[in-house]
Amino acid sequence: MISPSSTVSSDRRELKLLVQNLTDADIAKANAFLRIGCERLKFDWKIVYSGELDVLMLGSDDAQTVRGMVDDPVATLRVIDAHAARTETSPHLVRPLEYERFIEMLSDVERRVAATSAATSAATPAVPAVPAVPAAAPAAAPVSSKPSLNTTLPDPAPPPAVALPPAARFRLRRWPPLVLLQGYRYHPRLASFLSARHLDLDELARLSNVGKEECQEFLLALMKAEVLDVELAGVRRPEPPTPPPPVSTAATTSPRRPPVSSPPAIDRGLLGKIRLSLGLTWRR
Amino acid sequence: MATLNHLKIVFTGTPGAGKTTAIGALSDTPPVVTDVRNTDASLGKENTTVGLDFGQVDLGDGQFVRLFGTPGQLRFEFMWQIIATDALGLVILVDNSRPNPLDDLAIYLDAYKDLLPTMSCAVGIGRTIECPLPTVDDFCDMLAARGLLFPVLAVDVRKREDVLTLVDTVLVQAEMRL
Repeated sequence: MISPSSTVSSDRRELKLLVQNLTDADIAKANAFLRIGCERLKFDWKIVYSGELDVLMLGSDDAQTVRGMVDDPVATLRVIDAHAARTETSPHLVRPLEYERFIEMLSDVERRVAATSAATSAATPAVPAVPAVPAAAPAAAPVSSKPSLNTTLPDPAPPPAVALPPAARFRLRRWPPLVLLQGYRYHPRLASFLSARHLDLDELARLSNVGKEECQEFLLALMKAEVLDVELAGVRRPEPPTPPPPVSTAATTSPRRPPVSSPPAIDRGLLGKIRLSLGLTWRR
Repeated sequence: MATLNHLKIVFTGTPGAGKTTAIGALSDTPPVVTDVRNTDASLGKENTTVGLDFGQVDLGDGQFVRLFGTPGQLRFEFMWQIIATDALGLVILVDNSRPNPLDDLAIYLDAYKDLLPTMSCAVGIGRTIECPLPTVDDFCDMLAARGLLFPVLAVDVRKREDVLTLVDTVLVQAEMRL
């Protein structure tokens, strides 16, 4: 059995990942991932085999009694083989363990732990700061508390309600962190729309053919990650000129460019045709 | 009015990043490949592309989207921009198991710098499971430092779904340019 990793002492809160019935390879990978991912995680994580725990990482169908455990874990993650993944409905990781998925699930637990801590702190109701939005902006209806990732970890406390500023338009300042894109296959698609120009919620939902609620949830996550430029109603800045269709500048920069005819006329119908031919249909 | 017959999407990137595989994942016809036996041991693969890879997607009515793969080796740089000129989109694939993946991406960003401002582009990072560092977010940081904003996704080009996601992000950008 591989011994647990020793954690570097820090001021950060420590969370315990109790492993049970996992292979040595699984544990070694988990240890390595925790070392590599420590900067992306907000808490210090320690692998333990007994006692108090925050997350139970389980290599078998049924959890055994854990010596010294007082409270239920925040989450139980089952580690399963790939062939069993299709039928598994509970939160799980697939062998061989994947770094991004592993860190993503621990990050989700961290959010839940933080939300629980905030909820139990009566003195300071936690409302996360919303970047690039004036505090005076009136709040719209609160959004769903559904987790932004496709995990269904137990939800001990709903995250604090935040809302998009009304009539605001959004554009990415930079490509979002991977953790915000995984889980839902339409997140990269939504981010692509937001990379091109400012869009409001309705425009984003209409163009992407993704539900408004999902779009709103994604925009909120992007705002929290501080990768969104938010243009408020009434202070609309002129949009930078939209680049023309892909017309090359190579003619002036490369004498080797072969003579070509003018670029093809692209329209939405044609792009739709390409999507259809590729099987890229978006019906939600 | 130009014909629509030469719509193309170009796959470029480092040797071994999976350009040939990605084209094969999308093409309606068996891709035409120009692979020869590899003599560069550092690439760690049996064959490598020395000309163009080519596949196509039939849109009906005599229209096709042509899929081109560039040869990855730096000595073929002169071809890269020629192939990508007038393309509907560009997909840059990076093999994260190579010694300096960020430097690899920089080579392609430099090579296409004249086209990128008006080009729909996406970056796919392969082998991130075996080689998690640099992270996908490191690549995003690099693009941001250059003032570029393109989709950057971890991909396994053997999975058609992953290749489709990349291409979809390219099509979205093309749509937003209309």
